[in-house]
Amino acid sequence: MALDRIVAPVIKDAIDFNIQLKPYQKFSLDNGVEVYAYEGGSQEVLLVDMVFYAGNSFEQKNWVAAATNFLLKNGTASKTSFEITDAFEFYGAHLNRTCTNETATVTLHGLSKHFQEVIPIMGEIISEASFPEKEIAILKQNQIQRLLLNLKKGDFIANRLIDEYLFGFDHPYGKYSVEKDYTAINREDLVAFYEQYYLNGKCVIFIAGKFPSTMESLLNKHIGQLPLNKKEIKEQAHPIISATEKKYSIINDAASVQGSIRLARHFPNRHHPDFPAAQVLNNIFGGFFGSRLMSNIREDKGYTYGIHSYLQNYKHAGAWMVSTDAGKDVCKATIEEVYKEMKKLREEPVGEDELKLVKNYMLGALLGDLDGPFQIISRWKTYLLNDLTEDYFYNTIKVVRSVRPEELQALANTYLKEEDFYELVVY
Amino acid sequence: MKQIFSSIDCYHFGTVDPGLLVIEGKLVKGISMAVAEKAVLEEIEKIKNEILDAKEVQKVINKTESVICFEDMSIMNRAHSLAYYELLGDADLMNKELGMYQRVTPTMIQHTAQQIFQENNRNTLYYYSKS
Repeated sequence: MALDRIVAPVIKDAIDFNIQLKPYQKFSLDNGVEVYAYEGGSQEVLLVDMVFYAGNSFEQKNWVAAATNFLLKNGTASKTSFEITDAFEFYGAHLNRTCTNETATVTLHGLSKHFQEVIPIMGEIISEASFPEKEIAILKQNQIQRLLLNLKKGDFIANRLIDEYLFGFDHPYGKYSVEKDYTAINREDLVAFYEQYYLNGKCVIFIAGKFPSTMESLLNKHIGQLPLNKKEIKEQAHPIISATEKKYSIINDAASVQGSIRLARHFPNRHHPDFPAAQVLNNIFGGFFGSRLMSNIREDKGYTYGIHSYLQNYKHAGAWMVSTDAGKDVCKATIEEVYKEMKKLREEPVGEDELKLVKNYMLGALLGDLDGPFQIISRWKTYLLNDLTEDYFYNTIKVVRSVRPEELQALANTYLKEEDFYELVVY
Repeated sequence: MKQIFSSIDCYHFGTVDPGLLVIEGKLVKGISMAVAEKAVLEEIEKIKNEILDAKEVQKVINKTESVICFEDMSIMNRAHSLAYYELLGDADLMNKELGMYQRVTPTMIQHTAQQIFQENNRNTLYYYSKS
């Protein structure tokens, strides 16, 4: 296509684009592990995400899931932690792991041409992790040190407590670790968790990028023969026990010059029909830099450097959260202003210009977020792990494009009510 | 191994015009500047006089290739790279850069080290804390 470089390209609103989510390919390995694959992109790289049903909702003792996930690559039957890192590094590859509420992930990023060299090591980690005592001791020590440091910070305390108020300390979304949780963990705990939820666990694979022609056979050879997906792994139901008291003020550091403010209410997960429109309302409220909370409380009042609201969308439940740190003497005033903004959204319809801006912002952000094969597979991963289909994608776009001010006002009257919010300040 | 520095780095400025190569380290308490400097110079002499292990060089090339490939994944970064190479004089350098790294050999590194690490081309700064 010849470009006329004298003329600047036409500016097109994000809202006018026909946004598509490209489909994945799906196949199964010999052991029944399902692989969702998206081939594409311009670079000779790929990503393999092994998702295990091994998140912290499966653990019996606090921290076991996260520690097991973290230490997977810190030693196998035949390799030390250093040798494993070096083996990946030599081929320019990286292995990361993350542990969340429901799932825990082992992720490989690397060059497509070295896939055959690094995928065996990934298989080795899943099947032969050895959890050396020395590595466990180092992790425990680091974790305790980090905790002691974090406990001095108001925002850290606030994040823990607000989740506890919402979901209860015995719920995976509400619990957190204390020092004795770290000391109480021993190697047997980790090995037992590993054997049940990794070695003989339930796994789904997501792969994206440029695939070597041998991709499928290599996955089958190194992952497809492992004893995965043999036993059923049941997700346990955890009852939500919310705090009865709604307002909290906590002094963590009497010398602190600011307070960490969290306001939160329960909110349904992505399956609820109100979810997409609530995202639009949330953006207007506090979801981006030009939001009302930011304009009022940062730009106009100068109480804070930043204030955000967001929908915390866990798999089974969620929350609508407002989060900020403000000067000690203006915390009260900040909270009052947040409630004023809620009231305005309940009482007055959003203006057409503001709504159009937010719609464009959201669809523009979505477009930017679909750039490249890793982003595309990551979106599919979120949908598939949360039992959503592509309908969710297209419905969200439809709602963002078409939602009217009066619908948003009705939503605000349902969800943005002061009396429904937990309110916490940690000084 | 010798525990002379608590941290030490070697980097170059990566500027469009010729820049600097810097070796910067913080000393472990109780170590004298002279001892630390001597230890660094010994390492420099090794790079000048001994040929590097091919595997070590290959590892760095692989890592560089990986960085270049991952960097250009998003449209935004590709546009940025294109613009930058054009600024350097040739947008097509974007396609040639990786090849230049892949052709690097241990011998080339030794030659370059001998050119750069010359005694009369070196400035050294000792920077002390007050106490």
